[in-house]
Amino acid sequence: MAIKHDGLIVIGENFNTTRKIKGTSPRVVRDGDTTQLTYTDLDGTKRGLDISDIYPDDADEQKKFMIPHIGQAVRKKDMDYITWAIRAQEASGAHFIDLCVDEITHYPEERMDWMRWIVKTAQSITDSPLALDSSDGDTIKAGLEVYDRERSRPAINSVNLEEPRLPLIQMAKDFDTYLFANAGGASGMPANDTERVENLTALMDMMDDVGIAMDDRYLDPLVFPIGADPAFGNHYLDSVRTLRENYPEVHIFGGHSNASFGLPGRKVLNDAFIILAILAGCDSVMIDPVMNPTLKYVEFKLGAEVLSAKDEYSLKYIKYWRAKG
Amino acid sequence: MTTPTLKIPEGWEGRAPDGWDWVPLWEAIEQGGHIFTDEFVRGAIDAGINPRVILDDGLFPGFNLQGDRFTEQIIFIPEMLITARAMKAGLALIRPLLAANDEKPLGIFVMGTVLGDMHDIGQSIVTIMLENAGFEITNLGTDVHPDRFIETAMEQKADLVGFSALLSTTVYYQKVTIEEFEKAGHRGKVNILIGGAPTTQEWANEIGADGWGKDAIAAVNLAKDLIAKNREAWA
Repeated sequence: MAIKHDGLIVIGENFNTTRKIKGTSPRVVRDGDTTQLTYTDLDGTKRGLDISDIYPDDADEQKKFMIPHIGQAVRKKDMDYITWAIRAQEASGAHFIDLCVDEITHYPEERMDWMRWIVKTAQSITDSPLALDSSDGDTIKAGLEVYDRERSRPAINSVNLEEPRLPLIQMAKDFDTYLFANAGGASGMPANDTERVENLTALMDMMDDVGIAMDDRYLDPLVFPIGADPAFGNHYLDSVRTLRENYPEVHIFGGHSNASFGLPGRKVLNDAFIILAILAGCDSVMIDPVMNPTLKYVEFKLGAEVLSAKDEYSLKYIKYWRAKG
Repeated sequence: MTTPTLKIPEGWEGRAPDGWDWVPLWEAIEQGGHIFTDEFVRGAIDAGINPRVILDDGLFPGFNLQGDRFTEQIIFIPEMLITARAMKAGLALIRPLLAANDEKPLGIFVMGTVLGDMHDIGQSIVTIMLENAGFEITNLGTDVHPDRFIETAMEQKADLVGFSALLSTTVYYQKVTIEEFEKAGHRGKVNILIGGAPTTQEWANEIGADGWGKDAIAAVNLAKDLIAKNREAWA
């Protein structure tokens, strides 16, 4: 089942319980004993997420505090906030909505319960395909078991060569899902572009054996923070180039905003890195589509393909502009 | 926020030959000049300056200054890393001399990422900083089974053990590994530090760790504090 898109598939990464907002954000409004994280709904209604129980009173503490807003919305089962967090991504061009509740608890059983709850809840809000995101395979399985296939088709995020995660390939077949695969090795992270390609090639072979359709495969060669090692950017980009050459039809993406972690002016670096990634052969991105409007990447990619003779007679590009009206 | 300043070691003139000047080395460490550092430290050794003095008066001031700036979020990770690289160039020359003088490391530290977790970037940076600060480190890498932490801590007679975890699904093994130290009867012999993006001071308290480092420099400062704490002796 192909995803309908204009040349770039967008995986919205925002619905992740690890996500935080600065405690000093102007969105924080205090009124007596209540503290709210305010937001404007898609229909223009001003609303607030109740953060009174987690927001510190002390001014110095507030400066250091990071508001785990998605985790808070899930814990409070605040349907308005959850609906907004999902729909805002769709409105900004997300094709997949990633769901990760790993950080809501450090205990495995509770985590599975939260995954079941968020899958049912998100499906009551949207018919977009949901990417069930966990580093624990059992948590993903718990989500797949309650997934309503009438509404959409799920994605597994993600398998890699770590032993406990390998059953996810068969699970993708059994549950008929999209499958995200990352370049993590059996006993460690890839050290360079060669290891990235080797690890993902091994996974591609396993997917061949199980019979996962090429169009259902999304490869993530892994983006590491360039602040920690200047070579990390090229490790990713070089592996994308090789994988694209070896597998012209597979989807390739990455957590592109990881690249800028720990450096100033992150938006500038994210934009530059996504452009480099698209030129290297990525056809998908996993980003915050609300903060990084995706239309410019879509149009950049269409334009780049015209200019590098990848779009024969510019037909895709012309079709896009005609449809735009 | 306080603006960090270079802390000039008190009375350094008395520990160096007449006319000696450490300023170029302090600045080289601060700016990450590893080639200059190598040359300058060789010169200091040739001038007959005690290696301990080279370390304390020559290398640490610039390193500590950048560490303080990193803590205050004035400088970024890459800037800390080039200072660490320069520091390493100096230490490579000094360390064998310190060992020959029977100088003990500040403490013995066993570091690793917990079972099921393959992330190594953060703990490698912490390892570099701890080495630069004078600790002797055994880094067990990633996906480390609790038994391996315990065996290595026993072999090394470790003072400190550090568990890194970068996934919400693996921080649980920080708790498990601490419990395994308890079961093995070794919990009282080591100070246990934890760290990693999903971890917090509250989690450290909940699982009974001795400390939590929010970043690499915080980890070094914590390790320096904890080393002074009384512990049971290794047999």
